[in-house]
Amino acid sequence: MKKLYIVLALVISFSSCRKWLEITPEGEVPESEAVKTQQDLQNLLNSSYDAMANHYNGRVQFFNELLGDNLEKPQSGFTVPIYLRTTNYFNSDVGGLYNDIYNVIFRLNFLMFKIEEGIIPVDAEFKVRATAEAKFLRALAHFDLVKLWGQPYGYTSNNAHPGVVIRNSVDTKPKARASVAEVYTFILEDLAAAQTNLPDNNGNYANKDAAKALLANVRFQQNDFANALTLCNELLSKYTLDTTLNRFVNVLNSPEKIFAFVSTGVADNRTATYLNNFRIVNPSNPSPNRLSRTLYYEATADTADLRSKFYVIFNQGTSSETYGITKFNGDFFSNPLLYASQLKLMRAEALIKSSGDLGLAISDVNAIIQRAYGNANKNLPSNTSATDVLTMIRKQRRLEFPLEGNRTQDLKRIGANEDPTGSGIVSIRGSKWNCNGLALQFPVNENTSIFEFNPEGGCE
Amino acid sequence: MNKRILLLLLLAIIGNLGYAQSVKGLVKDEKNEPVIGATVQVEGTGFGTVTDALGAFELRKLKPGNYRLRFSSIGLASVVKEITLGTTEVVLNISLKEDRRQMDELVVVGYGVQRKREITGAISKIGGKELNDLPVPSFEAALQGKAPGVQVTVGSGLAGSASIVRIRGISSISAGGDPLYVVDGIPITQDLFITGNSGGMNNNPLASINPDDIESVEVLKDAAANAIYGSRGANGVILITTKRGKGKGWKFTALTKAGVSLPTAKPKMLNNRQWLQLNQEAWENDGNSGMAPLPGGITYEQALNNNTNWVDETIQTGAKYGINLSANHGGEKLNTLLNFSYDNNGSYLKGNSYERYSGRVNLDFSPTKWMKIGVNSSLSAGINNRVNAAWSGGLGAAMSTALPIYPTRNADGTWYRSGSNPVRDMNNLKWKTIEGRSINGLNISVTPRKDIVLQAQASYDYMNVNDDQWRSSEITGNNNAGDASRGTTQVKNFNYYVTATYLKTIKENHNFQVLVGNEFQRANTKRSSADSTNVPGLFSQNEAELNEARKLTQPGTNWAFLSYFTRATYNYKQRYFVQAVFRTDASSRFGANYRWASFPSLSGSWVVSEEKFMKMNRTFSFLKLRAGWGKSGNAGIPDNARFATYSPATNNITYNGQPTLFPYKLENQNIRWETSNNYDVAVEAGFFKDRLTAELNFYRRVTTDVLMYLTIPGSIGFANYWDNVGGILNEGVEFSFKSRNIVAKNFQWTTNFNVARNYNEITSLGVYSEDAVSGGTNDTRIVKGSPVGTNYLIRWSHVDPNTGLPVYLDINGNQTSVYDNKNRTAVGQILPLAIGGMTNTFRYKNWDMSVLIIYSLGSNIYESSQKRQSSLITDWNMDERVYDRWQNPGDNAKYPRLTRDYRTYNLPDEWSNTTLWLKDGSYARLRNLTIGYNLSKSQCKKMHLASARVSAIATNLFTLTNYDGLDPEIGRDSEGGSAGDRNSSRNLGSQNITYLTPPQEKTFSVQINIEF
Repeated sequence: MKKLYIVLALVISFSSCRKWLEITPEGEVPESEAVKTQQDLQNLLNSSYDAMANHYNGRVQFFNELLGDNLEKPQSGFTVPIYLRTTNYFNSDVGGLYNDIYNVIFRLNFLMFKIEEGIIPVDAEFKVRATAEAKFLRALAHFDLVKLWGQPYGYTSNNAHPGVVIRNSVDTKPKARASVAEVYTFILEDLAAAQTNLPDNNGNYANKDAAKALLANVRFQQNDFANALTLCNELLSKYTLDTTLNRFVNVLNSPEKIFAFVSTGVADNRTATYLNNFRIVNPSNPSPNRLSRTLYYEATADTADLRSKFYVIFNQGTSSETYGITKFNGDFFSNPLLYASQLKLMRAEALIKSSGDLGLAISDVNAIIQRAYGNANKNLPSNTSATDVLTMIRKQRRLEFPLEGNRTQDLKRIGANEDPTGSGIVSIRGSKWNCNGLALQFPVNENTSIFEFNPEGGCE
Repeated sequence: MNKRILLLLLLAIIGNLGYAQSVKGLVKDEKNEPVIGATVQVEGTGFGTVTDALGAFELRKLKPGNYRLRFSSIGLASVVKEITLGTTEVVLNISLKEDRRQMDELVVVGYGVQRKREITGAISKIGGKELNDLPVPSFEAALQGKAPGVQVTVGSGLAGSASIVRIRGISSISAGGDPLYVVDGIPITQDLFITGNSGGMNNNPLASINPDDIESVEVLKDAAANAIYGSRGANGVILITTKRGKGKGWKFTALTKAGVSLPTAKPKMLNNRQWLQLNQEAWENDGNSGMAPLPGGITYEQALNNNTNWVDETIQTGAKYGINLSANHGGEKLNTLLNFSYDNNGSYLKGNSYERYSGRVNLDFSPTKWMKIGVNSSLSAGINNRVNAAWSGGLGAAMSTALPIYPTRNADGTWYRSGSNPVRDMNNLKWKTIEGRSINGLNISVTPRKDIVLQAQASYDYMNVNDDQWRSSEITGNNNAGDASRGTTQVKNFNYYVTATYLKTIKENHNFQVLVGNEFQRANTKRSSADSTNVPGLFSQNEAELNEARKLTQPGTNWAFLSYFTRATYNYKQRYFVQAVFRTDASSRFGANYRWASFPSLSGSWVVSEEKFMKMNRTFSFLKLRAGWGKSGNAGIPDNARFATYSPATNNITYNGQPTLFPYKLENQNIRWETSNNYDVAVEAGFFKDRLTAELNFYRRVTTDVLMYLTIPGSIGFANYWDNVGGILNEGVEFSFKSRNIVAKNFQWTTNFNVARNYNEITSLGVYSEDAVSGGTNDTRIVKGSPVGTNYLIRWSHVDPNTGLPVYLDINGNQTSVYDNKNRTAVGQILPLAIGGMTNTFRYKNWDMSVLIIYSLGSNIYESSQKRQSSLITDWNMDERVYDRWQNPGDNAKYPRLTRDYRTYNLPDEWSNTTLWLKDGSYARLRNLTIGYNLSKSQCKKMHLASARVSAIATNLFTLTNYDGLDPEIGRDSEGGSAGDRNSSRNLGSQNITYLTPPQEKTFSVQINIEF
């Protein structure tokens, strides 16, 4: 009997160890332990900047440029279909960027949820500022999503055409696409709140002016010239042009800078995709991605334009002639996102389009030209016609912001404004501005019964 | 002892007054093991008893006189003893010999053994002999074709390759689909993904098990059988029992073998002139003129001179050899088994072999009558001499990127580097994966009372895998001795169980047995890596450099498992059997809300042939009906799946110099067990004194809460999410028979046949679409109403004879030139409809021959790599099938006109899939042919041997199939390592999807077994 008792005692003693089942992951921290203090929330916000900086490190810009006319067809890989405007829902590069941007939006929504939830004690200043910063970043993310995955604002007269999914909460349910009008409304609301609540000065993070500058860009993209103009006027009273021609070499201390992503070293480089794509490591070898013939020849047509010196040509005169740019030959750069040169050319165009002050428009574009040439020799005369000024502004936009992702969206914006029926007056590398393939296809993971995919093709 | 027992004893003594002395003794079997529950009958009287857990019996109340005592037990031949009872006690020691009727063999059932007759569930037993004679990459491959409903797909021709084993179909999508492997009661470390996938291969933890250690393998297939393993039984259980010491005195066996390995099929790649011609044709088809540019910096002159046959450069005739030495001792108190083996299993891939050193000690010690101590301990080293294969290079490169116009070396003798060169890669890479493995168990069984058996087992399964690689400066480009790296994975798997069994017989006819138990298991996995430059070879040979190397420790993972279980069996007169099993399990992988789950089972059987009305039946020697129901579960998901986890504070990622914190994944604390409800009915029958035995099984398994690693809308912010979604149905029938066709003195012929038909269907997917879980890049998907692993493709109609361009079918079946993913549809399945095998064994005097044919019918093969080998010219070589291409208007060709631009076919990229590459995967193959000669007793005696045997073995001699690729048996190793979808890719895309997968091996070998 004793033997039996001993064994039974052992059985019972073993069995009481339910705690053995409590296993917490190693090397990863569960949410309950990770997010407990205001500092944790601040770190979450920091990580949102970090992630945004990594997605805007030339990658968002590259996808925009691939659709347009500044680049040559890539050699291979999933960027080729972007160039060909034949992305399908299996394109992992396209899906990757899409998922990454929404991942930041999740972080921002989670941050706002935690602040709103009120369980973690936070001070009043933090609550207002962090929420406003989150809204600024969330607006920026949605703005680029709707530009890349939707047809542009103005594609339909009421903008009821599908945009992207609006994510304004941590909800994990599938959602349908909102219309472009709804997406822009959402962006404007976020930016209005950000503008109100962001501090005037906020170090290297988003401040009030950043919200205004982004808002100006959004309004401009909507062809809403009046509102864009107001914001440009306000900001250009504070920010002036830098003398440096390559804005990547002087970012954070530039008088132009309104908002930039910060790089602190080679291992913390927020222009990595720019460098990976366009940096010319060995002067005799082209960069992995090459510029288009049209950009090269337009940019180098006038050698007096000092910006032409940035361009290089390989195998000149042969069938394998290729083109590169030296702007990104460095180890790391901070990444200017919102700055005064944009505002100058934006204001100039808005003035012309709204029949505003032509003289101011000319002076704005001349400021850019004069900087590019180092003298006033090529400045527009004050009697230049509005049409010619507009042509010059748009030319300067291409030469001033090469590879920064503006060109394709410029052409779409202009198409929506000046060629609403898609007659072909405005084209993007041989295709109508509103052809289907110019909106990227959504990744297959969105495939639910409530989600409408983009039509494909049509940009041949 | 308490008073009540004393009182009972007293009563018993008083009750005995007036009677003679008792008859008592022990009943044992040939192995000197006690026979529990043997019937002891006093013929002609109503007296009788049953032996207890020690095999002891005692008969009292008999008057003095002469008696005939009959000792009988199922599976053992009855013995009759005549005794004369007087005034002294009679002590009898009875030894019962085995009665080899098949229905009465002992079967391991999990925490115990049962006789086949008693079993109420579906269990297939395979003897060790059948397993260890086949030269296979790993023991599980030898199960192929032997057990009905057990589908074994041997991975590939790679040494040490793992097989895909699926029992009665598959009921999981993202959770594991592999059965549970239990070695001597120890659920061993079996995770194929533990070291990830490299070089086109996963490390196979089963390969280090020595097949010569195995006494038998039992496959538990239905819920009645595997419910005792509860939540881990859903995919079936494979119980492996190792050999133990038996008999009397010492016995030694030695085995030695040698053989060769060849591929079952050789790819027929184009030679240089063929490739140049077709490349030029494509160039001109694309509207170009002049000579097509050549890749890899090769001029036309060089291209015409170079004609490298890369296939021949990467394959060889592999050598296989090994020895196994075994010592077996049976004694009064101690039984010993010692086994040592060395095996070198070379494959036909140059430089590839799996070497195994293994040793085993199994001891059974009985210090007293009521106690038994068992020890089983194995120590092995599996050394996999690795090569790149499939997508990773080697033969895979020879079938793809290595063009015949490329040389292995430049004219100056240096390696050719400007294009793919698998020979250069192979010669500049050293790669060994060394797995050290030790599985140890200590089992103590105590019989405190005649009717109670207590058992406790503790075990420790240790695995350490070092994946060592070295690359020369030729590859790294660094000017030094080379770079070495090591990835280490260490798994410590601890397990104990305790059980108590109570036996009770009431009035001889009512037999009860109740088992209760508790089990706990915990496994810890640690991973680390080391790398260093300027090392002259592998770290394993350069300890000093290893000590200095840069080391990185990765986070480990842990899981734990706690269970309580009980099994109660009852039979009436060995005729009606009922079994109830209840197991409740808790897994650390689930959150507090859903951690515990219960898995009951109820089953019964009726041995009809024991009924009086059947006793006289001359046709049936045995007839049994059985039926069962039960629940089983699956928790085969990553250890940390349920947690929302965040980057650690020390993530070293900053923004603007400030620390960051970010989520890794979404939380799901409500993730829970995947549950299957199983229903089974079966008939087992023996005819004509068991000359023919047959078994027919029907089953239906309904799985709900299927664990899926879902691809969720990217806009949620994460790509994936673990959830319980949807349902799967498996329904099937299995039939097997064993027939002793000819039983003459000098000639015997036996046939074993089995066939299984499984119907598999995904019955629900919740709100999700086909793409919510995918089997990797090869377009197998989950489709409601179709089986797991459905080929979901755009249909290829034909090649337009006028243009040579593809014609696809849209979703409505109309012809179109447009390739649109919306036109994908369910067109095939990787799971076969029917599988089975047939073994014929012939014996003529001292000769014997065994022929195993296996077959698999009704599956499809997706030959994913052919899309780059037969029309679209990329950077790959093509195979000779490309000649069936369109060339001129009017041609009716299988493949479209050649092009170098995928857009010619309206494809979005060069990786696009269509049904053009979907093939019929049915096959039948001569899996094994063995011819053996057993030396006669007199011959053996002359040589002082107990027995000796010489055999010649051939495997995969020929295959019948319509498949036009290499080999129709494909079990590709899986993608993913740390990713959560690793099981999805194994369940949905490993089997029957080939991507440059090395074909199976064909082997010829000779084996000598001697016993002395």
